[in-house]
Amino acid sequence: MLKTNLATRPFYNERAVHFVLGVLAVLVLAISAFNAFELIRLTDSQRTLGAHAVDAEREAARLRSEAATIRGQINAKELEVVANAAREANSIIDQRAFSWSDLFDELEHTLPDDVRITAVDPSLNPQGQFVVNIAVQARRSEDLDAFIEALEKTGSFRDVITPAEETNEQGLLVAVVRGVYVRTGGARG
Amino acid sequence: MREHRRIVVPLAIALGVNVVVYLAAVYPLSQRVANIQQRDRTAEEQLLAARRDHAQATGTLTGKDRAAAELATFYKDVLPQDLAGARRLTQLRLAQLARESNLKFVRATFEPVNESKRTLTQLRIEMVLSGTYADVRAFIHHLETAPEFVVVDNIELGQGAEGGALSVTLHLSTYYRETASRDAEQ
Repeated sequence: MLKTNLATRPFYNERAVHFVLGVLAVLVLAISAFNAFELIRLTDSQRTLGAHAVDAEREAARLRSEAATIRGQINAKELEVVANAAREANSIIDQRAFSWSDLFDELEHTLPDDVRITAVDPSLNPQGQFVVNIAVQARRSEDLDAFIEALEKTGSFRDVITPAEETNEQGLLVAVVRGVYVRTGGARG
Repeated sequence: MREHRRIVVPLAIALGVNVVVYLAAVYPLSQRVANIQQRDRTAEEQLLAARRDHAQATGTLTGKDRAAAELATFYKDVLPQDLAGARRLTQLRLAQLARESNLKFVRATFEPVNESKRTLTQLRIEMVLSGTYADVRAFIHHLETAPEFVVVDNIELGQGAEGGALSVTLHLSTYYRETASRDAEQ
């Protein structure tokens, strides 16, 4: 078989070269655009962020200085006097707000027949809770125990104990029942 | 390739310029901006802390002023002004309340207690009454709802002889501020 080439000049595949050059040109353009965009964006960020940081630092310094001035106006001794007086006032207001009627209602509903109350003494503990000491006389230990159980069942008393108990000359059990009295709208802390 | 030198050379130059621009300008600038962003964040945190500090200082000042004003109102409008006021408030009024509650007044003692660390002077009252349990409850209810600032500290209940009247010992307190002496101290 005879093969002949009738072309007058050599053939080069220009299309592939043009494609590669085109891609390169687009790449260079894209890089140029990226550089230009970044330059503008970063310059702008530098300006605005820098100004914002300076403003924030200036404002922080102003506030700190103002706070120091305010603190300078506060007499620490005077502040302590007011704080102590407020604590004292709050404590006696809490005691005034203590409802003896509610407490007696609770005791009436829980007191067994053979237990008699001789004294009731509530006091505020450091946690701002009322601790009630109830002095009682009972015929038997079972009656005293029934009273303590009944008190705890009400939900108004917790941690009920008898720190002291003894039998008196009449053969009655004399005891002090102590418990934390939990009320709604209780004392301040 | 020689025929495309017209295009390849400018492209190569442009690429080179871009690389130089990136290395000389864009990259250092991005580092500077990152530093500024960090400085901005730190400044924001410092500003927040300064705002909290300022609010705390202002709160202390206004809180102190408000507490002082409320205390002044409490001393003036709620508590008796002095020992005479406290005595008037308790001695007569408590006897009246006992009578209104059908309780028999047995005895009462009054003792002012002035502890050095306290702002207020306490007038301690021990009051012994006798009557029925229902009357004692009524007396306590009257006392709780009365406008006078009297605190019931504790209550002792004693059985009357042969099931007679109940004997009740009430420990009460009222408070007043000895203005003259306190002012002199200050």
